[in-house]
Amino acid sequence: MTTMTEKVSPGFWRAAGKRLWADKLARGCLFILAVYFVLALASTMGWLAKDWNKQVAVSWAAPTMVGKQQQDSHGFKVEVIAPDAEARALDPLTPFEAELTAAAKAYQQEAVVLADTLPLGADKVGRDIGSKVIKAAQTSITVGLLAALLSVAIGTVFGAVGGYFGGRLGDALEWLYSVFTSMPYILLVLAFASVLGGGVHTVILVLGFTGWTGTYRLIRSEYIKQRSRDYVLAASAIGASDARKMFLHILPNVSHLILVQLSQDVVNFIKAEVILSFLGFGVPVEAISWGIMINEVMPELVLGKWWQLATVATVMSLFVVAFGLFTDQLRDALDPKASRR
Amino acid sequence: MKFATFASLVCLVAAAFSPANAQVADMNKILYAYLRGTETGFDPAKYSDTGSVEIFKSIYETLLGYDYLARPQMLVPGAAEAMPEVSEGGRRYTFKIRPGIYFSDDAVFKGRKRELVAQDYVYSLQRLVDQNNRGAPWDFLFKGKIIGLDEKIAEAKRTGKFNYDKPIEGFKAVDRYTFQVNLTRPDYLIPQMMGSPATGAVPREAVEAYGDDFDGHPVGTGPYRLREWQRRNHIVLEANPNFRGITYTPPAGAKVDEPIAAQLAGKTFPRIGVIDIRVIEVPQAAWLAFDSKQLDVMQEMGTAYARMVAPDGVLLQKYQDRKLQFYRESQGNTYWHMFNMDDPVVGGYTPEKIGLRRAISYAYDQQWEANIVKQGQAMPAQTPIGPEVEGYDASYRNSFYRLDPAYGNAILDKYGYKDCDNDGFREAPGCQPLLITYLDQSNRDTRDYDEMLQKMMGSLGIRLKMDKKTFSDLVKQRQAGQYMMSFGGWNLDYPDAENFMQLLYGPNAGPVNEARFKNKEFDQLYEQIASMPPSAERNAKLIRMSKIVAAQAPWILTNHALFSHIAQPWMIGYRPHPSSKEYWQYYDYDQSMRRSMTGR
Repeated sequence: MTTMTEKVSPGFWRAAGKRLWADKLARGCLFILAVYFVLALASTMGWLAKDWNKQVAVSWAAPTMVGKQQQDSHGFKVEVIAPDAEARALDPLTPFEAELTAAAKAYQQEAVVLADTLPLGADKVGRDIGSKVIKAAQTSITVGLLAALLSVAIGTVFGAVGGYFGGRLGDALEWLYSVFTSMPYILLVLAFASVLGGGVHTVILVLGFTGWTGTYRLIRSEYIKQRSRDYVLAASAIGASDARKMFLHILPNVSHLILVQLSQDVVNFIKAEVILSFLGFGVPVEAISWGIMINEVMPELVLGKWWQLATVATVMSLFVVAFGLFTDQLRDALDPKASRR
Repeated sequence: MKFATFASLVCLVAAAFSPANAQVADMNKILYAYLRGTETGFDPAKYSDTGSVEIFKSIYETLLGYDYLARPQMLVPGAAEAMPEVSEGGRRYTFKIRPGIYFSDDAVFKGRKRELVAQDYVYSLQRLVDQNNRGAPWDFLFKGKIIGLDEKIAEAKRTGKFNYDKPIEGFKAVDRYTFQVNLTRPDYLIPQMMGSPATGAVPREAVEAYGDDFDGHPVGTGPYRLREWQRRNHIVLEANPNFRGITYTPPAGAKVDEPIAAQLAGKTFPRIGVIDIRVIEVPQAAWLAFDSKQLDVMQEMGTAYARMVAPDGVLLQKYQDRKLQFYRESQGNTYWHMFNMDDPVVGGYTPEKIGLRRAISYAYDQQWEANIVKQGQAMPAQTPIGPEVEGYDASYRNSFYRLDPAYGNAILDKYGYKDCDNDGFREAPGCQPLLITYLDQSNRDTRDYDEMLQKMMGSLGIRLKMDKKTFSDLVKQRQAGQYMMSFGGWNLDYPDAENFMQLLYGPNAGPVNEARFKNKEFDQLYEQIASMPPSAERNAKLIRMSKIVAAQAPWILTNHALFSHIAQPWMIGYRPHPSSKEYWQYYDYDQSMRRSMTGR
């Protein structure tokens, strides 16, 4: 018996990984993305930016490098006065006043000293923009990743079924695809969002349910191409089931496309979340995302408070650019025939 | 020579046939203005939204009206010759209509001039209570006050059709020009009602001829008529050629803006022939239009822009250099958070329910909302009564309103709102679940507001859920009492405290008293102030009512919005009015200055 392992050629994935790692740009992007994912993870675990929602500085405290700014003298002071006899008589709580005042002592909190400046400045309600942008990254990256996974999963299954079986089933899926793509994307997303309501989960669902069409077309055409290939016919000859052929034989041969599609979708969905939140259909009031931060910026710029925009724009564009470049490199690495270098 | 003779003859003939004070509007003058919200239609009986009222106020004429410059606001005769004659101890009001007022020409008049007569008011005022007019949003003005009117409403409910032909004692045309109102009880606010834009006269033949199209085909006697209407986008008004032309004289004893009064003296109005109004809902777009001189006046600018042009209430130097006219003023409005008093969780009058609402009221930071959320464009409220209103006391401080979440927490502990399952949130007494749902508007940017509410409830350990609905659904739900907690706001219909206190009057529970608050003493006091002329005694009762509201907390008062208005330097006689309505008929501008600065 001769052994078949005399000369091991590197596997497809290993070779692709090597090609990717050899590229400096890809390595750089990977490093940046790793930093983002670590930050998002740390914030999810509560190690970072836990108190992002607390007021720590004066309203619109400037970044440290800009220095303390003159506060507008606008504003009203509500003068607290002691109740008169009439108010006491009308107040059903008056008999318990002493008791309540004593009990309230337990809840008395020390007044927080508000900072005049912060490294990245503060927003309208005096929250640290640094913590805020990290917490927002957590939401935005989570939404982007999960929505991309969902949409790619839907697109792949539909594409595989449609491409492999064709016929009536394929026609039905084509019809569904036409319905989804006949509507402008943003309007479709808004329609879904207004039906499902707000919340991080629904944003993920909305983006996942509306964003599968691209993947579907791609995978469908691949399956049509692959289903009559020799290796599939061979599998049929030995009696492999349809499911086995679809997911164990053909799927690995198109998986690089899925991976590329996935990383493209992450970027697209992060941007879509920004739009959704900007239009008021996004994440709920307890959460924060890059989209919400950008939405807050509009009136701030009018008043010359530019630091929130500067921070969120830098952080978000760096992520989107790094992810986009990485996707490009990934596609090149996974497609051995594409030798652009 | 011959031509001159002919021309003078024509002039002579024309002079003989036109009234002495014919309107002199220059049809080449176009004022560019904007609406910050959309309009719906121009039938005064059907619509009460700000945008629509703003427009139809200039199309129809009311018997009385608020003087343009007098502050505090003062009622003056409108279509009536003089203020009404009051008799029968405040139960009868007799108005004499000025003869020679004509409706704008319309096909339904078949080429004849149609004069305004007393019967027009008998008809128009009854329309306000006819439920077929989109549920009669103005019916609170007259319901329960006019002899014979309620019987008619009840009959209309039975038959489904309001019978306008059956005469009633309450609204009576004594002769062609004499209109009489007869009341079931004395009411000193009838003149105020007759100054509300809803009470403008409409001609019955036009309403019947156009049916639902009357919305977009208004016919009135006011200074302007509708020339063009693209829904929710563009409205063009033009001077009504049949309008008699008016002059401005400050009413006796009124405090007026003297320089503006001097600019108006001796002129016949209206002077601007065309008012071109765009609907611009985005504050940024409105400001950019004004900044680039495409708008002549900008009433009620957005808060961020108001703060930008005048951070401390005074116009920045660079805008002063442009000689812009700027006003920041309070208006008759009030905003509040409210509880549904019929709700099993937050409503009711038992000690633990009052305790819960009061605790929330101690956690609410009035100053924060006014200064941070509203950017200093609002002042904290102490009573339900809006400023610039009879009965409003600027110096009064309400001892119930103070920020003290620790005290609120103590109250909740006392009444058994404890955290039974240690999840950081309180449960209702007896460890029942406690979740407060706040009904909020979905299609406006309310994030600052929502965050403030989360913070407020968080400081008490109460779980809050925001329930976002579109504005029309929200109004429907609030009026039907299908909510727990929500927000409310009121713009005066007439500048009297009664117009605000009616919002909490027990028998008004429903679409008017949306909190469904019922308190015996409050209701008695309301009935007293409703039929009392202004006095120190009445003011004391109003203060007591405010204290009852604060103690029982169906409402937590928030603030009175301040408004900033800005106008280009070429505007003449411009002064914003506290009713938040525009008085276009008194505006004018310096044509040559505008042309030299804008080319328009």
